[in-house]
Amino acid sequence: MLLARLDERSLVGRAADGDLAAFEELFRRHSEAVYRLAVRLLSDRSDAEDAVQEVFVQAWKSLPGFRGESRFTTWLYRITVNRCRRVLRYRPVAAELSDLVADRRPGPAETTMWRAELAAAARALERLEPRQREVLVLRELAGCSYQQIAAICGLSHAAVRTRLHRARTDLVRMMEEPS
Amino acid sequence: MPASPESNRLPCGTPLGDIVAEVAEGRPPADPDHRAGCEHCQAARLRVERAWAGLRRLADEPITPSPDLRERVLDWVRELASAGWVSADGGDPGRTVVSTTVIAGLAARAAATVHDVAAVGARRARVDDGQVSVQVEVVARFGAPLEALAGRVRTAITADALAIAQVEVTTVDVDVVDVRD
Repeated sequence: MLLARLDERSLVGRAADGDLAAFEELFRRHSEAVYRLAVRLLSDRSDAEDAVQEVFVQAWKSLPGFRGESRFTTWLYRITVNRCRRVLRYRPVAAELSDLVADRRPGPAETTMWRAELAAAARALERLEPRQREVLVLRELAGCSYQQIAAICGLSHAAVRTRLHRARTDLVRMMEEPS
Repeated sequence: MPASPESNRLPCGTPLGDIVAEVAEGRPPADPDHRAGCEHCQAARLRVERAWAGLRRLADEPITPSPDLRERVLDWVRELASAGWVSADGGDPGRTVVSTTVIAGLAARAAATVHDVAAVGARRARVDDGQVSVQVEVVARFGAPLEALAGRVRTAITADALAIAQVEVTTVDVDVVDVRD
């Protein structure tokens, strides 16, 4: 059977039993999303790649204990967020950041203003307090539901709502400030 | 940067957060009558929309990992999947086995304590027919005779594996991958 056609639950079950091909398929499906999440939490692509590596190695080790109570992505994102928290905790304060924006030529429809607004969003995101940044990135950039964010960050639904509200407002205020 | 509550309100008294929530959630204004006549609210709404557009663009930025990441991760996982077990019986009742991952970890720590070893890189341990072999990468201090250095690394690893895990390591391959001042 073609692994690419298997549903998530079956793949996860097979990988938990030690099926490497099934795990590769899970990696294929989720590694880019994990990478993007890590880049946005860490603002550094090289650190983000290391995080992806740690996350999937950790996932491989922990899969036998994954009981499918949450969605696989929620579980994977929780490992990612925890990993990124550890990286940030030990990172020197003066680290050079700002790897949030792709290094590519502007597309034809992208005006200078367009790029400036994008850059302002990236800069503001970097300045956001780390726990606020987590919920904002999960909601606005990774498209997670409130319920998923609560499970990923270990917060109540109400706490997610409050923190997200604060994060959004702070982000907008920072984008309005001259940098 | 903590925001003071005052600075989060527009001159008309409307909290900036209300307008942000509106734009972020795509909701209609809570107080449409006030909004229709309030220049502060309308100007703030435009500013927030512009800021939010920037964030949306950031979400759409194509950021992809380097092509070799996949192989790096899967190599590591393959190695974990094939990790072996070494018998570490000291003659006590009951069985003790130690994962090759543990042996590799012990080897790295032992190598790091050796004089003139500046850093330890990749390491792995294997079991073939009951024979345990270890491979370890080291960075040497510039000027240290490498043959003698490798000998000290070998001795340190076999001694620690025996003392700590009761495992007899038969081969230690030392790869000196770099030298450093």
